[in-house]
Amino acid sequence: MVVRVSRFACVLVEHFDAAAIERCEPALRERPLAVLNPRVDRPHDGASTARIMTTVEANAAAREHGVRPGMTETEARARCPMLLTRPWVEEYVASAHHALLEAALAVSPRVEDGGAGTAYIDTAGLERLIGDAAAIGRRLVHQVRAIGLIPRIGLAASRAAARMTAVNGPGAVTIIPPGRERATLAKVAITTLDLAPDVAVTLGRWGVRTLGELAALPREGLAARLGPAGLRAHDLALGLDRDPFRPWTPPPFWEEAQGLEWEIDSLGVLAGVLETVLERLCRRLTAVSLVADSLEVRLGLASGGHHARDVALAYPMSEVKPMLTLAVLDLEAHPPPAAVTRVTISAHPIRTLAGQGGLWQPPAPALRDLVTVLARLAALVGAGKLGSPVLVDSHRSDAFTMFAFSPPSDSAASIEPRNGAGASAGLRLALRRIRPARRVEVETIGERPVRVEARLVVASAGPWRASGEWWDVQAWARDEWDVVLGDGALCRIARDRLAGHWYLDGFYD
Amino acid sequence: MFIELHAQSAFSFLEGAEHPEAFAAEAARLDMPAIALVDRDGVCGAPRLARAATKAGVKPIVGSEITLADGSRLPLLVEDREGYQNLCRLITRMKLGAPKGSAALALDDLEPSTAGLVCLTGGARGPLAQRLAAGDDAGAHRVLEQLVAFFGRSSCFVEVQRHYSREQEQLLQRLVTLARSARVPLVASNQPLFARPESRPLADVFTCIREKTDLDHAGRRLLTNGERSLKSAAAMTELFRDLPEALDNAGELALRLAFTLKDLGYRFPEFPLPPGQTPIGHLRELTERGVRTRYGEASSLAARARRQVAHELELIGRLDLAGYFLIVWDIVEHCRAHDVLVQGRGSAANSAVCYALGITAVDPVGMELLFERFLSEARGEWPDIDLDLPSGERREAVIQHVYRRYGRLGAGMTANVITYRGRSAAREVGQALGLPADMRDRLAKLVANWGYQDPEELLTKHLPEAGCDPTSPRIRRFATLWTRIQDLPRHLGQHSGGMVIAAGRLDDVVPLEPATMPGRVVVQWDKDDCAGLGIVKVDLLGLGMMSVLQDSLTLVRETGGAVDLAQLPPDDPAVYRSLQEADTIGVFQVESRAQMATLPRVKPERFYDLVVQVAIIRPGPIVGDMVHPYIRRRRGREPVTYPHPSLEPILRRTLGVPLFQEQLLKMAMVTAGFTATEAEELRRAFGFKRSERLMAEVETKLRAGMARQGIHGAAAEEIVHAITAFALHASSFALLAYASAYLRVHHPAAFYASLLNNQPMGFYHPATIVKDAQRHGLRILPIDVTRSQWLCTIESTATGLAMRMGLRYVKGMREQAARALVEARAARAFGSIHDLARRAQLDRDELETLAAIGALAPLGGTRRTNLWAAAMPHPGPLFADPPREVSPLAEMADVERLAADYAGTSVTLGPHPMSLRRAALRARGVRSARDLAGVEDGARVHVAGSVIVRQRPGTAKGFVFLSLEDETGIANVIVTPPLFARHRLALVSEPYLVVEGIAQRQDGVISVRAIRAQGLPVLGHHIPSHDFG
Repeated sequence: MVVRVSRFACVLVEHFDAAAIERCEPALRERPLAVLNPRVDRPHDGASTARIMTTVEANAAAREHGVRPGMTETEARARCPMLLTRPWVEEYVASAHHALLEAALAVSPRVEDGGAGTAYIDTAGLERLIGDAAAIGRRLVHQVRAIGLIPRIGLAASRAAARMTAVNGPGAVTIIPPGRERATLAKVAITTLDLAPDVAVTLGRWGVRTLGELAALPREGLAARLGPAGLRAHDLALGLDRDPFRPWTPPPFWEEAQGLEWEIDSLGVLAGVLETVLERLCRRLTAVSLVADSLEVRLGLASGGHHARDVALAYPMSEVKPMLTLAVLDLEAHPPPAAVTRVTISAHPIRTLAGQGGLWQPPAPALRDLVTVLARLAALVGAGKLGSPVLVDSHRSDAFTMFAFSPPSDSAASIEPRNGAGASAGLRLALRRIRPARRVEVETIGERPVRVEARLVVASAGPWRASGEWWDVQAWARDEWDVVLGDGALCRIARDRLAGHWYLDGFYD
Repeated sequence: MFIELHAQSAFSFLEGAEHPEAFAAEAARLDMPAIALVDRDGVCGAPRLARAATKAGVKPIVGSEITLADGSRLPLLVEDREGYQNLCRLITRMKLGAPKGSAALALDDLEPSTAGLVCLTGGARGPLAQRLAAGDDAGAHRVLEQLVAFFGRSSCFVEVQRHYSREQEQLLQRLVTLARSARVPLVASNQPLFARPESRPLADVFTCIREKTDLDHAGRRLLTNGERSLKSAAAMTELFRDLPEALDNAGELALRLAFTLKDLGYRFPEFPLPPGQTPIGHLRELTERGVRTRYGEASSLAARARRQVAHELELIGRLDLAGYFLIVWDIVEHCRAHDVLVQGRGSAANSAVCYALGITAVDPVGMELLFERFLSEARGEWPDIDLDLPSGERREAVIQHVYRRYGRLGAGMTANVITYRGRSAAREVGQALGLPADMRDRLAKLVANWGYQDPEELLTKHLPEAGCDPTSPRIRRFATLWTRIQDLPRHLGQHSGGMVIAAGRLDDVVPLEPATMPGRVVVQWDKDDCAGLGIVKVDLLGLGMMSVLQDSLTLVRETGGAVDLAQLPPDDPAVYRSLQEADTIGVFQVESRAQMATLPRVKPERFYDLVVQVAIIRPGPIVGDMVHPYIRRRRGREPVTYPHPSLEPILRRTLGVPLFQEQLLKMAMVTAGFTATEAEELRRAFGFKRSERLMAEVETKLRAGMARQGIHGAAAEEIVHAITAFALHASSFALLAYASAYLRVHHPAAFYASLLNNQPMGFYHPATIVKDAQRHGLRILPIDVTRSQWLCTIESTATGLAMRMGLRYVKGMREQAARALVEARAARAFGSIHDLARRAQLDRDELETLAAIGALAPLGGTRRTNLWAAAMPHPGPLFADPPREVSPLAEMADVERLAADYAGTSVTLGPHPMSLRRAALRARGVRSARDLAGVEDGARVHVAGSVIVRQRPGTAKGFVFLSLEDETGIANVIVTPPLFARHRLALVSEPYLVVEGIAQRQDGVISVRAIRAQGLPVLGHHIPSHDFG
């Protein structure tokens, strides 16, 4: 006898975060596994934060030992000493979920994303292609197992009923015959419904524990007391589902590739291929008003391996030329180890808002030219050596760091005059620094220098003493002296108090 | 000759990096005859400098920097008492005139208060240097002229400093020019922030804490170099060889600054006396009247009391302390007149005069307490009377009375100097060193157990345990800095109850600051400093049990009974029976698990036994291994011996075991030849957290003293061990324990109602207190919207007095809504649930909670029908109540009612959760707590219950003690360390446990030594436990 097919199927993978990891490491499947994520706690004294590893999911084997989400790692291990743990990784969960939806899509063209680990399938019409509800269920099980996940399937007249039966059903595939939703679901606990906390508390106070008890409450009375949330809960208890079906379509795939019939071992030739691929990619991006903020260049190699590079773009763009320049410069700095046989470029797309330069902003080179030039310079001198020198806030003499150059912003601050307060204390002597400071021989009487490199010191002022970074290996301490030498030169010399060496820091103009 | 006139200690919070004592010691080492401590906006460190400097033969000079409105700081030095009073008033005005943390004075504010003060112009943050650095030479000149006008040319000095800084030198040259043009003398200082250069790192760490940054990012906010230490005259002479007059002026000025804190001019307020009466005369009269009331006319005790009183009055008169006693008596009388329960505690209980005046309630003559513990001529300071008051509003009212009586500037709370200690110090030092968060956490957890350590030992032993690399420079620094920062002041807090009062203005004696609590001011010295300077202090301490007692008395009175705490029968057998049986839930001081475990062994039979009982279960005696010897000796299982024959008279009453602080002090005097003053030092080292270093010093002295007296070896060790672990005398607390036990036994309704009305307090959750009350036959009536008040009340029923639960136990109920409910009910009875909700303005959640716990039942309907009705929103005041519908909800089962009670009130009046499981448990062979009484020692038993206490005392070598409550009582379980390690999770987190173990019976105390433990399946709720507290 052929049973009439229910209209919806729910594909559910229990303990999904753990299942996503098991999909990557199938050997973990039979062993107790907990997925951990750090939870940041602020201790009572408020002094600093503490990171506590907390269970976000546990697989069935771990749950048998009493491990539950929300427990700290210590609690979980106390319950299950042989527990294996893995950190929670967003990419694993996202790709497993994506794979689950794609597997569902292989069975029916109408699939709805039900949240992590859940997919709803509109099964209307599938009976003629696949067979009865059981056959559809089996097909779904087969498809999902093929991608490394173990599903529970429920088939019923509504998505809600299908989901609840998938959660509570006795086997891998459970089917509610048409019209039997309410009766079948009567014994199911209302905690399955995922209700809003206040509704759940009220129903708890009322002693309503199962869907059957909830379904038995008068609808008008519920509506008066709990409003729309109450009605929705009642519908769900009856196995009704009034929300519209939102079909899921796979997100577009921003990647272009080019297989090569010959092996390329010159960057110049490779640049031509990269340009072709980038042109295709940029045309697609431009067509939907998107820009890329980074590229991934993957090169298939004749050796059988791969060479992959992430190329960060200095600003979101969709122009081929600067992208090409940046990609080529990057490959110049990090060339592939073997000849190239395949080129794949994927883009991370974002949407940008149109804007314009400030009225008071000075004319500047086009942003893309600037970025290209900077990338070339960085490739030439090294990234850490490009930028503007900035004094470091330190007592250490002549301490500076390089501040990476960034394109001018359009904020008004950039055209404000520099605050000159503090620099008004009259004329000062300029110190012409010798970089690096030159080691010199100095004769002293007491601490006071009397000869520098055999030249007589005719006058001196000092010492000017500074020391710092006593807390680390770079501790330093030095005395500076301003000295006038016999030939009239006014210079600054300094003694490293830790090493005992003297240096010529510079001359005063 | 150079004298440092601008030293800044760690009382310049987060700037100075050393104790005032360190400056005193360093000044002495450098042969500097005087030193001035000039901390920021206060004289907090002055008493400590005074003590240490005087001892070291250095003259302490008092001063303070004053923060001015422009952010600069002006150092002021005190020349005479008038100057000191001016300084205190200036600081007080500044502190009380602005919100905490943002106090400053305008320059003009100084004008009327400059007499007796000498002004320096400060260092880099001084008003002159700040202006010169900003290029405002004219402004600097103007300020200097103003200062000269305020302070006079002879009392104003331009301060010059040299820390080997190029910029500072430029500034100095301009300062010198300025001073010369204004004809103001120069004075040199180094403004040291630490006594020795080694402390520079700590000053940098303080900078980071202050600026909320770390050393890697603090940049030029850190000190330029390590030159801010106290420098010798020779070093300063070398530095200022071009300005010798600046050094000479410092020396000469120091000679002028003659004021010391001995010359405070403090007087305690004069008590208004009857015409023609002297204070001692009046005190004698009051005391004699009291003696007649307390002791009667003619008994041997009365005769002894009279002799004792005469002796005490003679000493009080000689020390001129009559006024002090009259003031305390006056506060106590005020409490009596306003129906506030009050009782003196601590050493005041040793004074017959205090007892006669009604300040204390325990008869020291009958108890043979030592008066000298309270007041001795040798100590030369005010006696310390602590008054216990009901906590909360009633105590605050008494504090405000004292303010009113002595003037807002005549009284203040003593400060509590909050210091860097253990964990928080580790966190802050770790943060300043830029250690990662997880390492800071690890270090903070570990240091809690280290106590005082040699940094080397820390490095080699403990830091590797914490997973830190002891060779890393930052970790090495952490060890040193953490050790150095210990005990340094962090900020000024408020002591919980210490009040000082003065005749006239207290701000002439010590600066006052606003407290965080509105209506209160705090003095800048802590209680020890106040005591050291002879300032009268009265501790007004809040005690939850005093509130319980007072509320109980009121309830007893309201129900037609009468209890006078002063007239309680002293040897009530029912009270002692309950104590001997450890039936003490809710009884002051003896309700803890540890107390309960020893009560049946000590078996208190009279009041002195209770005093001992209260005294022994404290960290001191437990650490000192006194409890078990005392119990063994009391039970006659061990001979009474003495560590040294000379100690027999001291220890005879406590069977050779030292239990009380005064015994320990006497022991120190007898065995180590301590003088009364040294014994007092010992008491201080015990008494307050001033420092473990102090304790170590005392211990060294103790050993040396004993060695001199020929006490060595084991006897010496035993004595040191005993002395370094201590107990406070506890007779006043024992009286409160007795009074609470008495009320609990004889007036249970009033006692339990008051206990529940004063929660949270004590050791147990209200759920446990309610079950205990019910087990004692008290009928407790449920919360009822037609009868309950906000607080628990007493009702007369056909079967006697019963207690009615108050609306304060309804979770989530606002007090305002509850009071509106009571008021609306008084106007007219409620017609329906909706009538109640509307007139009492209850929100839906409150109404539903009331329905769920059955409090609406008197208006008709069951819990569930009322829940169904309460969930129906009311259409508004213009419309009729919605019609009562038939509820479709099923009625609550027993378990559901229980769960609803716990969820809505935290307590249940219905059956104990364990009773619902009793049949099944009995079938498993599990005994109830009551049945445990009949088992043999060594028998294998199963017990089960709700875990109400989990304790793992530091002194118990890893053993864990559990109390399991069931419907019949409480079972005690002992868990060995290996078992705890195996079942840690169940033992720590399961709300209900089944324990299998061996019954142990010792002197009537039955406990179960656990072999196995497992959780009982969830009963839908659990009673919160008192864990590891």
